[in-house]
Amino acid sequence: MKTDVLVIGGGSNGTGLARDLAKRGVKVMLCEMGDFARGATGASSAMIHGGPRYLLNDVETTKHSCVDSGYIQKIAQHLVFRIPFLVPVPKSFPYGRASLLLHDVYFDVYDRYSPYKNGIPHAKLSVEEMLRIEPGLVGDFWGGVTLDEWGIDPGRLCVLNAIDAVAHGATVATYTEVVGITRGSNGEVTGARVRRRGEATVQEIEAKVVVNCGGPWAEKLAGLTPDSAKVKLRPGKGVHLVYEKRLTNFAVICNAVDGREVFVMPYLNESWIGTTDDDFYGDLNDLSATHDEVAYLREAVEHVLPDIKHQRLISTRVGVRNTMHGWGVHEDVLSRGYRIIDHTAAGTPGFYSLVGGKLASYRIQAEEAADAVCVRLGVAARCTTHEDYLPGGDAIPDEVELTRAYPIDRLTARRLVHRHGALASRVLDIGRETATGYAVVDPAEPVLECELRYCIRHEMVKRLSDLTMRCRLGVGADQGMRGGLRAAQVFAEERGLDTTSMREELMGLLRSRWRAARPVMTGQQLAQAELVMTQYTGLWQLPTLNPVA
Amino acid sequence: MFDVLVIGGGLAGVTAALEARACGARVALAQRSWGATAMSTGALDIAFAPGSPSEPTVARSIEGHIYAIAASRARHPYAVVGSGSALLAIADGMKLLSSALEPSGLTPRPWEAIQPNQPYVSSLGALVPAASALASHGPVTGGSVACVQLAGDTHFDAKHVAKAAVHDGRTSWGRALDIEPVMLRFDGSLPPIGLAQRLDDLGAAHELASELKAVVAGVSAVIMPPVLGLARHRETLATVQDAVGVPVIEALAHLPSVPGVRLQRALGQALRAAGVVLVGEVVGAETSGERVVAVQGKGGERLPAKAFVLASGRFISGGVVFDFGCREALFGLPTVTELGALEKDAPQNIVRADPRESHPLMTAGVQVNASMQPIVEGRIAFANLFAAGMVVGGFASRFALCADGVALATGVIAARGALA
Ligand SMILES: Cc1cc2nc3c(=O)[nH]c(=O)nc-3n(C[C@H](O)[C@H](O)[C@H](O)COP(=O)(O)OP(=O)(O)OC[C@H]3O[C@@H](n4cnc5c(N)ncnc54)[C@H](O)[C@@H]3O)c2cc1C
Ligand SMILES: Cc1cc2nc3c(=O)[nH]c(=O)nc-3n(C[C@H](O)[C@H](O)[C@H](O)COP(=O)(O)OP(=O)(O)OC[C@H]3O[C@@H](n4cnc5c(N)ncnc54)[C@H](O)[C@@H]3O)c2cc1C
Repeated sequence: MKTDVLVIGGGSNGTGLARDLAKRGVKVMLCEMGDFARGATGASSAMIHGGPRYLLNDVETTKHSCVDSGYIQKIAQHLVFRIPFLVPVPKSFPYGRASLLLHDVYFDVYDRYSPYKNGIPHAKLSVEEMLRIEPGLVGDFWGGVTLDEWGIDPGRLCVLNAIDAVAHGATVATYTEVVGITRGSNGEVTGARVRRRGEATVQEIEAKVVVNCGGPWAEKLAGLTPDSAKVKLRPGKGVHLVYEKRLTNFAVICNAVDGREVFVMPYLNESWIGTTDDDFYGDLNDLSATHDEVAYLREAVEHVLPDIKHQRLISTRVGVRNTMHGWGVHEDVLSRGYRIIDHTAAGTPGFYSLVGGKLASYRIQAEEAADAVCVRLGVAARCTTHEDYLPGGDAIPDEVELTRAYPIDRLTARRLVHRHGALASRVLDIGRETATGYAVVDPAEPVLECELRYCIRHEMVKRLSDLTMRCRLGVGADQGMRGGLRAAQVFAEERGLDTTSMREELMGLLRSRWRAARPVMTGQQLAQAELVMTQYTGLWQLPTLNPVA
Repeated sequence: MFDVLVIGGGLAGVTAALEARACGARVALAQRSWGATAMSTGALDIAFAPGSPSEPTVARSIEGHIYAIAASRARHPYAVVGSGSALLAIADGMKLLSSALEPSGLTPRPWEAIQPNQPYVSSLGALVPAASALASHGPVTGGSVACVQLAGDTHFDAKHVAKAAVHDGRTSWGRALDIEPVMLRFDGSLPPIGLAQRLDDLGAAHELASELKAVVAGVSAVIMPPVLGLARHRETLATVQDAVGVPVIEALAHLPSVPGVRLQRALGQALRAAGVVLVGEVVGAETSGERVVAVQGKGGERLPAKAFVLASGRFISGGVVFDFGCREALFGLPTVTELGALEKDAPQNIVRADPRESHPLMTAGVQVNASMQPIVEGRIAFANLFAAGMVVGGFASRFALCADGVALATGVIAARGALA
């Protein structure tokens, strides 16, 4: 295998870079050891925001992400959605009544950046106005401030970048891990050794340039060359709690016991509470939320929105931030900035690392990395990723028309347009092929059988569980119980799998949902887990199950 | 004043109530809603302890499985009451159940303790071992079998079911089976319960039967999705069966389960026929020293009885609750798992990372003695309180298919204890 550029990592940075280079005509290959967005990107708060928090110590980051946010809204208009925020100002704040004013002034500054991202200027609210928006709020407040941000589906963002890269000649390999970086006699990069999941043999890839987009793994990847000292991260573990449904109208910012800000945010048809941020030096491939993290997040929100206590907590999202190393005393003041490291000076010409940064500015980060690579390769072509639509981003089909043309309801149409944009009718046309093409497979979303088939055929799905990142299969409260079997049958049909492989795929999906739900398997969600376990796992593993002693 | 008040209307509670009525007692039964029994597959599992590929256990007798389970799992109810007593109680429970289900046409398939489990086909596409099952299900043993696909049905995919059953026949049961999918034009696009209700109309059942007759000539049995009627299941099944002239077998159900709903309804009818007084949810208990005096109904009514049977199920039915600490919901009894007492803990420590593993939390329930009396710190909690079914700890149906066997055995034993 021979390529000009090998990109390591299928998060937002890696897929963004592969797309950028491919569109400039560069021969590029991307290797991702799991599925797309399985790292920081898929575990993020999914906000294409400017990060008002960073205003205090990092104005550059704020502006950067506001500008790039504007571009992302254009090229992937179907995938983004507005999330209004509410910041209640409690009377316990140290500046008394002036606290509200200070917030007001602070967000005045943020408003200056908001035109870049099509933001609505903030508003100062009285207590009554605030309670009209969020009647569940409990506490003594001076009032509140609103602001607005944009949300995105980060998994699909990566998938669409990868698909567009392939459409422009790139090669993309998921479940392919880079296990070594090869160098020539002068230390220059000559390529990499990769191993596909489930295979023992290692393949050589020849490449003139290798770019490390390993997110939190970047330090380890750089360690495959002799100059690991150049990449220093301060990995911060971040947990979100996922609730069954939308619990608030606005995203609400609350204060945790240690004074940090924690939010409860409606996201698509669920709500998230996030996040924690603690130094993490454990195994990046084996992450799960601890009891303390779950309790910390719940308590932070429960004291202003006590009703949350009774809501159904279904799952967790856990990731590690790829924050660059700094000297901050407190995790939150670490820079969200990024750096493109050219390892030439350290003895490995042709090796680059794109470290740090944010989802919100993935595109411009990728652009700058691509610029550096192009200089080295002598490619003159310029970046077009801020102008050219991602697949499906060129138009938003009319929902009502879709419900007339196909036997689907309005909600299904809306969710489909959100995920596939202009390609929605291509997805729906597949429904005509089978008698059950328009049947709802996973009612939580809802996901149609034809959408599964479309994703399996056209969106680089290797494992059944990859469909979670493509069309949110199994993320609802039932954690794949209803949709899992049918999806596995459809997957087996499309891929010609035998019975054993089909069951393994279904177990793989259930296992990934189980792992995410496990830290919060209490109350109703435990009953759900009991159901899943009784329905599926008891019946299918019988011949190989050893009784416990 | 009742002799026995049973809390819970699943298989365990109903067994206890019917046994107590059979002994002539005045019995009341409290039920909040339908629980696990209404979701069950149609199979009646008594005992199956899976082996390993090198030591298959499909040929072992049901009795042998009961001994094996009791020997290897110290806290399993079969171990607590002893294998011999368990076997006798299960047989008595099965007899009660058979006559209770007779009017609904669900009479369980005959079974014998000295015989092995039989292969029943499930709509998940697996050939699972079961001791018995409700009448419409049946073991798949040989001959040429047709597996029926209704048009537009997304809950039952005949292609996959046939393929998987043949696979399991070969790999797990050592049998070469001949099962082929056949397509019917009959519209199956409703959800299972809706479809079953539609087939309660015998006109629709005849329509299905005549379509079926045309495509299944020459087969020795027919496998159907489990949707052959709900309230009039008996007639619907007979209609189809008569038209086809060979055994019509319903696959075991996954959720939502028509056979589970049929079973739960039939149990309700059996309770009424037996003269058990039905009360709704109970929300509290009144105790005095060593005895339970009464329970409180949801409307505040006081329901006194001489003895009580707790058959309130596990997590699904809310008989046991867990929120970083685990307890039985009504009396606040502490819980044990198959590994021992359950401390206040986070799920990470008592639910394992892979769903296929054995999870201690999933076996949580009250600890009992051989008379099914809940035990707290080594002492009998209340002299007149007995437990039955999934609310009893120390087992999960998932690791040794036995849920209904345990419900029957503990239901019978608890009722006898309550009347002693
Ligand atoms: C909790 C949390 C919340 C966040 N919230 C936001 C937010 O709201 N807005 C925002 O803008 N940013 C947010 N971020 C930051 C943002 O997610 C990241 O900056 C961004 O997603 C990083 O993308 P990446 O591609 O560099 O890294 P990743 O997404 O981690 O991708 C790296 C990829 O490299 C792969 N990889 C690693 N080693 C190898 C190897 N040897 N071979 C092959 N592949 C390999 C990994 O599998 C992984 O998929 C958040 C981060 C976290 C953790
Ligand atoms: C999906 C699924 C499939 C299954 N498949 C099989 C199978 O194939 N074979 C098999 O043998 N077993 C199977 N089982 C298990 C089996 O159905 C039950 O475990 C068994 O019937 C025992 O039930 P139970 O009576 O103990 O509990 P349940 O059926 O759960 O009944 C408990 C009852 O107690 C009531 N209750 C609880 N608290 C109160 C209160 N305070 N007041 C009043 N009422 C209360 C509930 O409303 C409920 O009706 C399955 C279970 C599930 C969930």
